[in-house]
Amino acid sequence: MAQIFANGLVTSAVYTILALGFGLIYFTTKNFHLAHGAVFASGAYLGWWLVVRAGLSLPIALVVAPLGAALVGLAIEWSIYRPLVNRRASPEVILIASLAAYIVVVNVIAMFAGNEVQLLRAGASTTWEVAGARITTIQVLQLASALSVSLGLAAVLKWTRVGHLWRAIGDSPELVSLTGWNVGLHRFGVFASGSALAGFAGVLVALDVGAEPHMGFAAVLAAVTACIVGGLGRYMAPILGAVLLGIAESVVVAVLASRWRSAVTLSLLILFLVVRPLGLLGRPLRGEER
Amino acid sequence: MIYLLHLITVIAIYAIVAGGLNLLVGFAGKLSLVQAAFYGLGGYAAALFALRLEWAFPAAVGFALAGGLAGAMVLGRLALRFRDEFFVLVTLALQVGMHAVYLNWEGVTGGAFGLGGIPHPVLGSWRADGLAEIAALYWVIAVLVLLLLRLWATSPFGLALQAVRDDARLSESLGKDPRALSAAAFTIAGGLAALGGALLASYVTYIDSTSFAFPESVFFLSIVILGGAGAWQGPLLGTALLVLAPEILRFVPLPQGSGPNVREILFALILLITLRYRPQGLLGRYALD
Repeated sequence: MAQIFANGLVTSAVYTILALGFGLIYFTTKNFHLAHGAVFASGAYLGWWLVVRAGLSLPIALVVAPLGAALVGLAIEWSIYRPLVNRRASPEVILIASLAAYIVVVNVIAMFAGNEVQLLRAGASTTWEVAGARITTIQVLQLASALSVSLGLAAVLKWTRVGHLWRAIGDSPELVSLTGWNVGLHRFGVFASGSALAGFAGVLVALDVGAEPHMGFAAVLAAVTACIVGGLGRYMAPILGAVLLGIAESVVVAVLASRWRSAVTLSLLILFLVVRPLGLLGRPLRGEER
Repeated sequence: MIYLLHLITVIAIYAIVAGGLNLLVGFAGKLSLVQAAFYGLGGYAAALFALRLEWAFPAAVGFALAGGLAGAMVLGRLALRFRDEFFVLVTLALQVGMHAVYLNWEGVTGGAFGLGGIPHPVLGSWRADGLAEIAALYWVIAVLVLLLLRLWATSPFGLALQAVRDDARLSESLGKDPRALSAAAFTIAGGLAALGGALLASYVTYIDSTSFAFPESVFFLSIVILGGAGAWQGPLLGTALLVLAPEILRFVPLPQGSGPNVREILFALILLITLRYRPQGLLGRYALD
C-alpha cells in the first residue's frame, strides 16, 4: 500500500514538471501545445546524447538538455504557431498544427537515434527505504526536482515583473500590448521556460526508464489531464492534478496491468471535461473576462 | 503495374474515409481526430464477421458500416458537447482510448499480432481475388459514396450544415438545430470511416492496430485539409496527392530503415504548409481559420 502510494507520487513528480510547463504555455498563450510531448522527448534524447555519446557528466546534462529543449520549443513557436497566431487562426487549427509539429520532431529524433529504447545509465540505482516503501535515488531526485520547480515557478509568477506580465498576457494579450509591452517577446520567454521544464522532465525520465521517441505522447496527454483536473487558467493547479493522476494510475497499474495506464489518464480527462470542466481549483469566469 | 493497382485501390479506400470526414470538417466545421479509430472499428468488425461468423462480404461490410454509424452516433453525443480545441482534444482522447482497446483486447482483436486470413470480397458467385477486380469493385463503391456526398453537399442538409458552420446562432434562430446537424455529420463520417476500414480488411486480408493509431487520424485530416475542406472533390484530390507524394521519396537516397519516419515527416510538413499558406486547401471553399 505504501509502495503504491510512493510509486504514484514519483509518477506525479514528472507529470508535475511537465504539466506546469504545459500550463504555463497554454494558460499564457492559449496555444494548445501538444508538441510539448516532442519537446519532452527531445530533452530526454539530448540528455542521453550528452551523457552516453559525448561522455559528459550528469549535472551538465541536466542543465544543457533543458536549454536544448528550450530551443526546440522556441523553434516551434517561431516557425509554426506565431504565423498562425498572427493570422488569427482558430484554436483548433493551432492544435492540429501542434500535432503535426509533434510528428515532425518525434520522427526526426527516431531517424537519428533509432526507434528502440536508449538507456541513459547502466545498472540498478541505490534504493532507500522510506516508511515501508522502496524508492531509488533517481526517484528521490525526481521528487526533489518537482518540488523545486513548483516553488520556483510559483515564486516567479507571484513576485517577479516577468511573472506578472505572463499572467497578464494570459488574461488579455491586447491590453498588455496596448500598455507598451512586447507580447511577442514574452511569448518567446514563455515557450522557452515551459520547454526547458519539459526538457528537464525528459532527462529525469530518461535517467529512470530510458528514452524512446514516442515517450512524449502519453506524457503530454497526462500533462493535459493534470491541467484540466487541476483547473484551467490556474498556473499552480496542475500540481494537484498531477498528484491525483499519478496516484490513480499507480493504483490501477497495481490492481490491473500497466497497459491500462493510458486508459486511466483518458478516462479522467473525459470525466472531468464532462462533469467538472472547471477542474478542482478552477473558478468560474465572469462574463466580461471570457 | 501491380503496385499501381495497389495505389489505385488504396486511393479508393482513403477517398471514402476522407469524403466522410470532409462532411464533418468542411461542412460542419469540426476537426475530428477520431477517424482512424472508426476506420479500425470497421476493419475489425468486418474481419470478425467474416472470420468468426463466416458471413459473406456484403453482410460483413454492411454490418461494419452499421457498427461505425452506431459507434459514431454514441461517441458523437459525447464529443459534440465541446467546442473549439476541446472538441479536438476529446476526439483525440477517444482515438487513443479506442486504439488502446484494439491493442490490448487480445481475445477479440488479436492484440499486437492482429487478425489474418480475412477473405477477399465475394459477391454471390463472383470472387474478387485479383487486384484488378478488387480495385474495380472498390472504385465502384467509392464513386457511389462520392456521388452520395455530392448530392448531400447541395441538399438542404448540406446547406444547413454550412449555415451552422458559418454562424451557429443565426442558423439556430432560423430553426436549424446545430447540435443535431453536427451529430448527423459526425455519425455519417464515422460510418464512412468504418466502411473504408472494412474494405481495407477485405483487401489486405491482415489487419493490426498500427493501421488505426492516431497518426492515421492526422493523415485523414491532412487529406481533407490539403484537398480543400468543403469541396466535394477535395478529398479525392487530397487522397491522390498524399498517397502518391511518398513516391517522390523513391528518387531520394535515404538512410536504411528511415523510410517510414521520412514519410511521416513529409505528411506533417505538407499539413503544416497547407495550414500556413493555404488554409482553404487546393480546391477549398472554406478556410480553416
